Amino acid sequence: MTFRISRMAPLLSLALVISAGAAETVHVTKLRLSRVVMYDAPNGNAIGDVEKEQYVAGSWTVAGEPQAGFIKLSGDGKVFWVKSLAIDTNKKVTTASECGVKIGGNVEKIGATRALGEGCK
Amino acid sequence: MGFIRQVERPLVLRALLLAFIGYSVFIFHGLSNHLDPWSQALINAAVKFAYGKTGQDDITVVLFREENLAELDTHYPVPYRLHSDVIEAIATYQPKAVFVDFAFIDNRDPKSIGQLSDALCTLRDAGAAVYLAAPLGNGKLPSITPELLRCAKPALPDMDHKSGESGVLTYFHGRKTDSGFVPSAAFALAQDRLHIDPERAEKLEIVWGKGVAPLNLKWMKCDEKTGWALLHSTLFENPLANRLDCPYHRTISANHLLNSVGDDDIQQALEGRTVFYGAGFRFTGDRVESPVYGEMPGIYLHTMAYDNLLTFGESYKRADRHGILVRLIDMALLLVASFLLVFVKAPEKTEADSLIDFIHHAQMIAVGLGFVAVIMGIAMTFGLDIACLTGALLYVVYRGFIQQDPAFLLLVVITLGTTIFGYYVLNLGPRNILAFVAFFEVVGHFQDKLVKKAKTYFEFRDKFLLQGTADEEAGALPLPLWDKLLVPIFWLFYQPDPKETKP
Repeated sequence: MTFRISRMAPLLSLALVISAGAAETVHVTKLRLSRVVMYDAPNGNAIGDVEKEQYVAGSWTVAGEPQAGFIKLSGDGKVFWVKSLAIDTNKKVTTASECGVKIGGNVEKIGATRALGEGCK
Repeated sequence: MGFIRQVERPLVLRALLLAFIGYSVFIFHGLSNHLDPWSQALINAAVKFAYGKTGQDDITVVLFREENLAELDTHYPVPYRLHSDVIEAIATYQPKAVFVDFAFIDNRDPKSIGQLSDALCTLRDAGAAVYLAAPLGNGKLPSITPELLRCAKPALPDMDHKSGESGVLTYFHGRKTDSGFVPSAAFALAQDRLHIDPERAEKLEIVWGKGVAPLNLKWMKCDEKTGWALLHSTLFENPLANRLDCPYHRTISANHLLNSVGDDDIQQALEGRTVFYGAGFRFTGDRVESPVYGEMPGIYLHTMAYDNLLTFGESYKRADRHGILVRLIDMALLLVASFLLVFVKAPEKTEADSLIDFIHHAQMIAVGLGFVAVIMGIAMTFGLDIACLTGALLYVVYRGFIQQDPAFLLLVVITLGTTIFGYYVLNLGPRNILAFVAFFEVVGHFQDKLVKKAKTYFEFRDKFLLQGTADEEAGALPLPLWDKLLVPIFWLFYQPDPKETKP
């Protein structure tokens, strides 16, 4: 009996890993924009687009966490990025880990002007 | 009748004198207009339980926080492209209306402007009424490119100065400009939704709802001082040192919005809501300080003003407290307080009797004080609001029922009555209740002192000034000038028996 269980253990472990993996898969249920552009990276180059009506629910899966407003997806044998705002999923995925944030209260006053960042004309 | 008039004349004159002094201090010095911190703390506590949740349910803030710049891999100022993303993200949830509290007054490349303008149009096409902050420059609208106003209406983001020690804030309804009347943000929203005409509206005095939206508690640090910490800060600073650091209105960050998918919190926060999109960046000066909340990003001024308009409708609280009716009510209230002080007296006791009473009842007083301390201790564990209301109630019970001062009780009832009348009928903001009560207590105290002084003076006058003149009728010495000045004043507070003395 002990022998049988020990022989089955790897199989059981594999089954557990597979089922856990399946539970973790997050599907894209719908597109929120009428046309969703696919990119090669966050803030990268456009590599294609899909119309809202063309999308088949669940055909894309989430392949990574959101980053700089984009999320990595896989579908149709490709890996690509779309804007997070463009899709809806069957499960919450977020990298916004804000907690214990203090919105109010006095802030330091300085006698200087905040300099502009890059890209301003 | 004539006798009554004769006897009561000095009392009536005294009441009028007290009312005049009170009126001078209250009206000319403006005490009744400015809520002191203690009065404001009481008002805050009352408002917490009386102010409706209509606005809190409807309004959501999307806040671009300083930390979001790094989280979204961008810089300050936020590129128009990223603003477009935020606006497009909001649009996908089909909100009712959106006010964008960013002043896009700088020239940018046409592509960025076009992208932003398209995003605003997407928002409008999703069914939202769209408003864009448009600060004025020299009476004209600033150089916001007309393309950005293609699908959005301009709205003033002006802030008014705070008034009084407690920092009551008022809010503009709008301004006339060279190109017509431009409403402020809250009034622009109210015009379309509540049909309040901003051009005919008056300046609003903001009533600050107190509390924190449940969603905010999930990700913000919202500890309110209680117990010993509350007692310490209240005694060594003032009650307003305990202002809340979390906003009243539901808030999500731009990072949360853009770096999340499938999040029900976002859906519930935006779908069908009125959304205010603003920022909380460092060193940009867009901050607002209110009597209830610590310094907050300026967007919360607009949300609270709009909340007031949603809650009160046309009956929103007016900032103008200088109308003739308001002055008449103040005058009448002071007159009533003065007459109560003079005509309705608490049972009088000599100082010796009071001391004997104190000694006889020392045990009971100690138990009473202990009881009060326990009640206040418990109240303070529930926070400042409950502690303030409990403290006020205990004081009224003590003055009215233990000291048995009916005039005080009457004054409290009348003051509360006029405050409620002013709030609900005249649509005025909360009044300085404590100032009226303080006037009553301070003047009452000095009145007692003056009665004693007047009595002493007339005794002194009988013994040292009038004795000689009574003996020599013909060659009576003239009374000194200071006596002629003092007698009419003291006569208002004490009238000696005419047989014993002559005025």
